[in-house]
Amino acid sequence: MLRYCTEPESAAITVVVEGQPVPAHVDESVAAVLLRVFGADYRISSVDGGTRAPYCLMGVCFECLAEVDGVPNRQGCLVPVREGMVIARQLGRTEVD
Amino acid sequence: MKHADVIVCGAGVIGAAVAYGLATHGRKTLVLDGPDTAKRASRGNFGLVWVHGKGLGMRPYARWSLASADQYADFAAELRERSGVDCSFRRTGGVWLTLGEREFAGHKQLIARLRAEAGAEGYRAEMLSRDDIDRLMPGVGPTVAGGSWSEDDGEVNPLSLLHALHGALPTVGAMRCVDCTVNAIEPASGGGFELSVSGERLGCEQLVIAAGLGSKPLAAMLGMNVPVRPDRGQILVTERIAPRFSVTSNYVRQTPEGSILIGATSENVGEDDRVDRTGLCNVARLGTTAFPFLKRLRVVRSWGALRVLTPDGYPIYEEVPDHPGAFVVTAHSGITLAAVHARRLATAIAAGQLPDDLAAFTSTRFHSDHVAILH
Amino acid sequence: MEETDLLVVGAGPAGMAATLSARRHGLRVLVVDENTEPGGQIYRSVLSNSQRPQRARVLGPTYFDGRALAQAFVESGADWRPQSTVFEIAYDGSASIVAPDRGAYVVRAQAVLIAPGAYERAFPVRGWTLPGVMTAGAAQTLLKTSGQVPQGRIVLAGGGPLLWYAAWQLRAAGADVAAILSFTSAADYVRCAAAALSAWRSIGDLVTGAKWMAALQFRVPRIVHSARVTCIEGRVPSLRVHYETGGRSCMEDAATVLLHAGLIPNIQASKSLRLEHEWDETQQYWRPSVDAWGVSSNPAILIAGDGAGIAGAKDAVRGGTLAVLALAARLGRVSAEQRDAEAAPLLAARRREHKLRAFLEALYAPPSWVRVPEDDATQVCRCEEVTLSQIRAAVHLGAAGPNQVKDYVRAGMGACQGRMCAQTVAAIVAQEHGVSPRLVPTQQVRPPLKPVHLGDVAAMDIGEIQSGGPSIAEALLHAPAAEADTQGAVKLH
Repeated sequence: MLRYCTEPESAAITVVVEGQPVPAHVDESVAAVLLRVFGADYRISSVDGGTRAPYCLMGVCFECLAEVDGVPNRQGCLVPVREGMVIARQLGRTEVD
Repeated sequence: MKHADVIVCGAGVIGAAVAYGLATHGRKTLVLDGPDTAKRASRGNFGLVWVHGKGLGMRPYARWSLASADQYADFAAELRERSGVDCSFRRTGGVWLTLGEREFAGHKQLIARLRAEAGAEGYRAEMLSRDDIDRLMPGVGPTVAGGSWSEDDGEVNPLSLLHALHGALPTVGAMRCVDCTVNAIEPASGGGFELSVSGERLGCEQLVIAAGLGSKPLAAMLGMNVPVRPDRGQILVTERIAPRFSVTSNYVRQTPEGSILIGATSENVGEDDRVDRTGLCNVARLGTTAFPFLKRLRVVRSWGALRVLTPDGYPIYEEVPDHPGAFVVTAHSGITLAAVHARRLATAIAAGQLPDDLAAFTSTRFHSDHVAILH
Repeated sequence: MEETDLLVVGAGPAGMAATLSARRHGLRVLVVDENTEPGGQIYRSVLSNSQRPQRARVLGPTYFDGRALAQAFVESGADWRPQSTVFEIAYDGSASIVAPDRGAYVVRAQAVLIAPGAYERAFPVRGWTLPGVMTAGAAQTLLKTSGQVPQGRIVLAGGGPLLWYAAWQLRAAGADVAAILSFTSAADYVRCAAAALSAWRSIGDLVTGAKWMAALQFRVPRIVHSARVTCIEGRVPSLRVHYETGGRSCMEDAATVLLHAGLIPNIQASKSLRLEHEWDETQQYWRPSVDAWGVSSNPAILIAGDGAGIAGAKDAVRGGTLAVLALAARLGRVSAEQRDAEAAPLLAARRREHKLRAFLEALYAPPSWVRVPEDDATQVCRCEEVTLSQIRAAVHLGAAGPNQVKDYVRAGMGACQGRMCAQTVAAIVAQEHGVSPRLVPTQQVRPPLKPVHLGDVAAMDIGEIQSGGPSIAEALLHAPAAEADTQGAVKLH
């Protein structure tokens, strides 16, 4: 759903998205990475199971929820990626063991 | 002047339940509800339909709670059919958690004394070890010493219960008036009562005062002292997780939607229904002590609400002295008692007389000196 | 427990300016923001983007107005806490903060300046919750923070300066801006002509705005005025925006739809403090009541920037400065005369810009169909998925405001805690009752302002337990009921 609009001007890094290495850049947000990789299939709602994706990208709408480094339901638009970050989509309700 | 057979002041879970019951007996019933920002104890409730552990020294209360719980499923189904709203009642059985040996020892004593007071009637509750609790509610913390269990306990969505009651009222011919302020109550010359409500005069034969903390000033208009005071409870709600708990408990429960509720404080802070830092912190500590896995969950919202407490915490069901036909109904367990409020109590009020087994709940018990006011 | 003179919540233009002013007057300042860099939304990532010339070219010169401010901010000697969230503020000027590396902690301050900024008004049309539908501001943020644009056809819809600004920036970034569906009509321009003329002092800003719009006329294939969006349907990359204009029904295909209907102040923090708020009839939003200095109905709480009322970045800088001037005088760091002397040019500039503000507000006032949706199936509450028809039913059952609507149908109970829906719900109540939203209560806000881990809250050091708050040793509770013989505490239910 997204593409870079200029030559990347930040350091290139690699993050892990649902087990797969994905190239990204420093200061990109988790939300941007997930939008690039999954587009419209960003998240599954914990309310009725429908698909949702980011709306405001500034921390107000809570649609950008994602799992970051094992912590579920983080607002992806507020988390800048860094080397080796482990990212997964928030697919419905979290399981807690 | 508009006239009803009964006017019920207060449309929370108590007022609405009593009004519903009265209307099913064919009484033309008008329920008066306050403004959007009224304190509304009904909206701040944890949602337990709880029986065991209650009523020490007040056996009628233990019976009353059990009776309500026994009828609840039927009552909830009736409301659902009438209103279309399902209040998600589940009689899951309940765990009474205690934190620490001291609390556990005290609780063991409580259950033993309740069993003794029940005598031949029997008492359905059993003590649980920590391991027992862990089997029922996995992940219980190391300082949980033990607790007790009863299959009589359950849970409901308290907001849906109120929604269902409000939705059911018109289907039984009761009218609910919102955004009302009662300025005056007077006895009418031919019998009955006249009220001045938001600038309008209303008349009725019978009157029920069920306005929570507001019952005090309303009853005072008829010369009766209703000794209720506010007690603040703060509750935290976590993000939704996959289903984990199939039973309910006194401190922690999981809603059908998946959120975990943790509560509650009990604070004497007047009419301040805010959630504050101390409440956030203490309830978080309560929850994470009971279930350490909760540390990893986020609290996403909170409630603060004011319980309506009498000096001993038990209800007041009383006809107003010198004003036959006027009744005061107040309790802090409006959720648990909703079924009997709508049925047994409303039936009695419709008949104009409170029954003997509710005689223990008059406010005269606070006047006699052989009953200690316990803190 | 940490202590400071001034706690600044939010490092946007107002927060940054307040910080500089505070440092000039020798105050200790602690500044908290959820992001990693200062700048707020309008100047998001401005410092790191200064090192990115290509991205800078796309973003344009207005954006870099914020660079000097942000640079001065980081060099100011303030205690700067990025990636930190204030989740609770108390009326005494103390606040609870959480950060990933330190958990939750309390800060006490003589005063708290809340500078939370604004966010885009909800645009509840059927289909607004579909993936691929975002705000115009979201696209700008994507550009600023991540250097990316939506792929494929972009359709923008709504009204307001930000709509045009975003379209201009996206074009400059090479995105495919296929259509702009503006709710503003020719009649609106005529109606506001007089206001435009009286804003002659701000001719520079007016010309800039006109330039963007003119530039876009030639570069955007389809610009429609008087466009009323009726619904959005489909699935990325084939979304379809249905709208009406001039009595005709039309549609536009899009891979991404960007909505914008103006900004509203973020009042979560100010509402949680139960401060007084007032209703702005023109812009149809609530804002906290503050005096000319930014002092709220609680003297320990100051509010500045768009969070006090939408007035843009330049005015936010003035507001932050003025609030701290007032504080400095109150704390005796500056005399009343000195305070007034420093404030005079700021107040004068504010008065001069007032006319421009009035013009923009009149021109871009949100139309009724944005404030209250017209399609029954519209999800008004995104988080809990509550539709317009469910909310109307709640109102007909007797819910007299958003709090009771929430109690009945859960609107406002979800993750965003009413940010996206509470004012729409109130507008629906107002419409059903035939009254101004001024007369409809707002949704109550309680902490935490943002979700916070229970483990962090439980581990907080909150100092001495205040009266009214029982300690953990008693398991938090005591029983007023007859279980007096039991040691330890018992829950009431």
